[in-house]
Amino acid sequence: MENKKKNNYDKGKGLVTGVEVVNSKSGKETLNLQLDPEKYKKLQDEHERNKRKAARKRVYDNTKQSIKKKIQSSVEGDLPSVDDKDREVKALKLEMQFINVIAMRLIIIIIAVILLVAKRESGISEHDNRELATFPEFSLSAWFDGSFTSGVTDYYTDTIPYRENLLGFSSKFSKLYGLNFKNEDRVVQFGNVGNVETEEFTGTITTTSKLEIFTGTQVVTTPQASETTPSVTTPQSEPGSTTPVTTLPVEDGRLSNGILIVGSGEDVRALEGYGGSFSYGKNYAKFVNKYKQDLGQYVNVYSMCIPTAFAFYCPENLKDNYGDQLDNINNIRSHLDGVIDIDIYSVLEARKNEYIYSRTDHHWQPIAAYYAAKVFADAAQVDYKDISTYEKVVEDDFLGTLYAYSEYDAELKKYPDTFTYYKPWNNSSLKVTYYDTDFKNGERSRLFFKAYQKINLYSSFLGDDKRIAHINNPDCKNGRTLVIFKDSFGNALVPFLTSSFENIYVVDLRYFTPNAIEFCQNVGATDVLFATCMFTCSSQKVNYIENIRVQ
Amino acid sequence: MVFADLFFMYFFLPLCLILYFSTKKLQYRNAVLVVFSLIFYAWGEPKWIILLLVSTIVNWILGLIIGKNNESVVAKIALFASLIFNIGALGVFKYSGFIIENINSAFGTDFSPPGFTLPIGISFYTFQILSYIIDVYWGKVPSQKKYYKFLMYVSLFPQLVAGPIVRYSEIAKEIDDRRTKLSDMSDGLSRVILGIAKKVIVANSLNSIVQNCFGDMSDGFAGLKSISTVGTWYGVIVIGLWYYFDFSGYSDIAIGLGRIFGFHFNENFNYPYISKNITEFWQRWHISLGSFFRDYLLYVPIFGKRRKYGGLFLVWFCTGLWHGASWNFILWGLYYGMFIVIEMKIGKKKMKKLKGPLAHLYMIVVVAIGYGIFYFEDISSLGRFFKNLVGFGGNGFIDSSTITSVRNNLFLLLAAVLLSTPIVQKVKKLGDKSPQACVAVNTIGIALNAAMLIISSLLLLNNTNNPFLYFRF
Repeated sequence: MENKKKNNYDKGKGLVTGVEVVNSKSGKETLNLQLDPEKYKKLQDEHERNKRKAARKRVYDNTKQSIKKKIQSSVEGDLPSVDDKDREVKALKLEMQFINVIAMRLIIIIIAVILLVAKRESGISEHDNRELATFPEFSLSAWFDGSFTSGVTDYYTDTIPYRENLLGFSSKFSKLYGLNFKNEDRVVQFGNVGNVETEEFTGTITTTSKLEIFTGTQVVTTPQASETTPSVTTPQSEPGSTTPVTTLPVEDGRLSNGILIVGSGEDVRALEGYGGSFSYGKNYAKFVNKYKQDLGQYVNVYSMCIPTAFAFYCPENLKDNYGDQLDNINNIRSHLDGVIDIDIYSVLEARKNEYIYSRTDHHWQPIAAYYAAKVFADAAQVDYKDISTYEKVVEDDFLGTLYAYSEYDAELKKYPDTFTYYKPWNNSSLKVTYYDTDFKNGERSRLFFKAYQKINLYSSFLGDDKRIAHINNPDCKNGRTLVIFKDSFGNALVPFLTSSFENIYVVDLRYFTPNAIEFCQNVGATDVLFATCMFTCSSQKVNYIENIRVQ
Repeated sequence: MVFADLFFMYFFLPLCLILYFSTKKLQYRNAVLVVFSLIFYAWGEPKWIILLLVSTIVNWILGLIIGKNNESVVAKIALFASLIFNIGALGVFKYSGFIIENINSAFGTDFSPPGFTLPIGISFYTFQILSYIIDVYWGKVPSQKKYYKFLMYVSLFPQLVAGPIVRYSEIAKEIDDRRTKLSDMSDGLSRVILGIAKKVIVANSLNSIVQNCFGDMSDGFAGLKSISTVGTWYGVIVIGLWYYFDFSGYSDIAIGLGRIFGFHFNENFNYPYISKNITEFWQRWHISLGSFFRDYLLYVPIFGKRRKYGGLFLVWFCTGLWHGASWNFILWGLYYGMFIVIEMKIGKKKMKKLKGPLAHLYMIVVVAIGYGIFYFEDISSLGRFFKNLVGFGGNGFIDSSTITSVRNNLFLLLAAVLLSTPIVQKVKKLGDKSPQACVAVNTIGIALNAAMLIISSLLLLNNTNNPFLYFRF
């Protein structure tokens, strides 16, 4: 109250002073014309005095009036008059606008400067599992097709400082969009599994000399609606979408952003739940069978379904909530016709206490692929070099994809993986060529890449999934040509097969544009191996197998 | 370049603002705007910037000719030359493929389509140029004597690529004389941030809900095969919210940027979803487009004054076609035209008798079905959509993934519905009531601005490529 009074007083004074100055000026001018200086000065002084007097009176009146007003308004309920209030609101509004402008500009400028000067990220993004963009090279053609400018924008966003650490925000934020009940989490499934069903394979498998043929009947139990079964989602879920799972009784582990974390200390392990469906498994077998039919009797077609770590390390109490990989492998096996089944499940299961799966990455360890490739080499009746002939490369501090997908679980970070891979003795003499997904623009390169190490170690061999690789071993003259249709799991097999086949073509199912049958015929394939993980064998992804055959 | 992009927000814009406000000379400021606008356009369209430049030069000269030869034959010829040039360019670059496709299927011929890529923003800047030329011809505005000022009007980056369609008459004065007041700067910044948040936080999330419901063009709308009746209705309503937040978000950014530079563009969206009928809806939705057709097409007596339905047909045919070279868009336009005519026939007074929630429901149902026609670009998917909508899709009444989707996005959906009403405006007005309220409302406003800006920026780290919808037009 006191402050306001003082303000008003000051305002009044200021106002009057202003008037005074103006008046004295005009007086000076008019009087100057008629009077001699002395009289003029006298008159002027008097005039000034009068003015000051009047001014003082006006200030006094003003103050009096305003005090009166204040008293009146306080009687009326402490509300300043409408005019005053409006003026005050307006002044306040201006002030707030000023603060708003300063604040927003500050935020923008500070972020802009940080983004300009801070060290940018580079290399491979653990979160996205891909290589970050690099600054594009300028050329006129790049400018005109727009790839330069879009490259700059991509580079700018992709290499934002601390990007890897900030990315987790968006998934956390999107949880605020709706109700996510306690214990419920969004499960990230790599295999993009449409149907999460609990199915049990109850048939029997008879074994013939080379092909395994199933003669029993397949019984599929329908999912039971109970608290503990994962909810059945319709197969419409989109790539990258998340499937909610109802209350999970995670006793032996915990869920971190949908990734199951089991064990503790050095045994801590991240797992992704398996939920493949029998019908996709059946389709997988049917689609692979068609390759055999198309390629004819002189080409051997093999199927290797690679179990994921979940098959061996899932806590007992959770097993009922997820699909069983062995059951589905048996299901697939029962539908294979003319295709040679490479059974690696039992081999890996027997060695599950060894370090055959990474704990922080969704892939297997190369040594597991060594065991698996041996089963295949035996079936294909080709030479197979013992592991002792390989050069062992050990990389410590490996934190893989599951670590990123768990939103950087602290326990995992504490106990990183050791990634061990093996270079064949003839590595330097191998002729390795990479082609684009059209099988064009071949480029000579090598099998192992040093550049990719530490960040995404699983890419140490073959590097990028997308490219088609051709490995020619000039020392092997058995006339056998192997085509591997694989997902990223299959990559690990390749180094161990280099001395077994004269030529190996490595094709990723997901990125292949030619017709697969024509491709096999053109390269003179004698053996065709399907090597994918169980996520791929029993999800919508099986459609890739059919797509590339008919495209 | 896209507005909702870190490169734009934290590199291009700050640089532009620093240079723009480094002097008070308007000539210099205009030069900064022209240069940055051209860079902005060339960033996404390095080839077709030539078309933009040619188009502005040709139309600037024609505008001068029309201005000099008031209402004479020369002016008429220049006007027609301009119309042919502009509509021709639009026809060649936007519709040639569509026209040839239709000729082929109608006559069994086999012309190969020219395969032009649509130059970004051509639909918008062509209409801006047309409005200028016609206004000059009608004597509403004097022609612009300086080329760079005309170029600035057309290429002004806030509205260049996705509207609103700013008329020359709206900003003619401001091209030569404008100031950014404190209130312009403050409101402009807030508006830009609001627009970015609308796009990044709300629209992109709604977009992924729609993706989960229906799928999109690239997967042949796969979701339609399994979605239930309730799910289909839910999906189209989310489409409506998504389009609103995407389009109006872009307009907010454009208008806000305009204000930062001292331009005052007209509003483009005025809470369309509070409308009580379709006529009102179109007075509130994409206002700059609707008023363009109203002022330049409806009252042009192509069909004679008496045949107003002919004019209406043309307007709605063009409105549909403008949104894309595809039959479903034309169908969509005519669908709306049909309701406009029906409402005209019923009459304003009788329309008003339909009250409150019922009127609102009518509007929502018509608009939602409209979005279905808009979204499903191929006819067979559209058919399946209609079957689902009325319960003959064979996927049941309700499905579990719809329930999950609603539950997982409940707050987002509620917020989206609430924010498509003028609630924020009302809260802002509360701030004028008393000093205390003013401080409270404005403090909350500033805090929200900061939060929206930072959250949007963080979310933008993830989706590097999510252009605004109106880029397609």
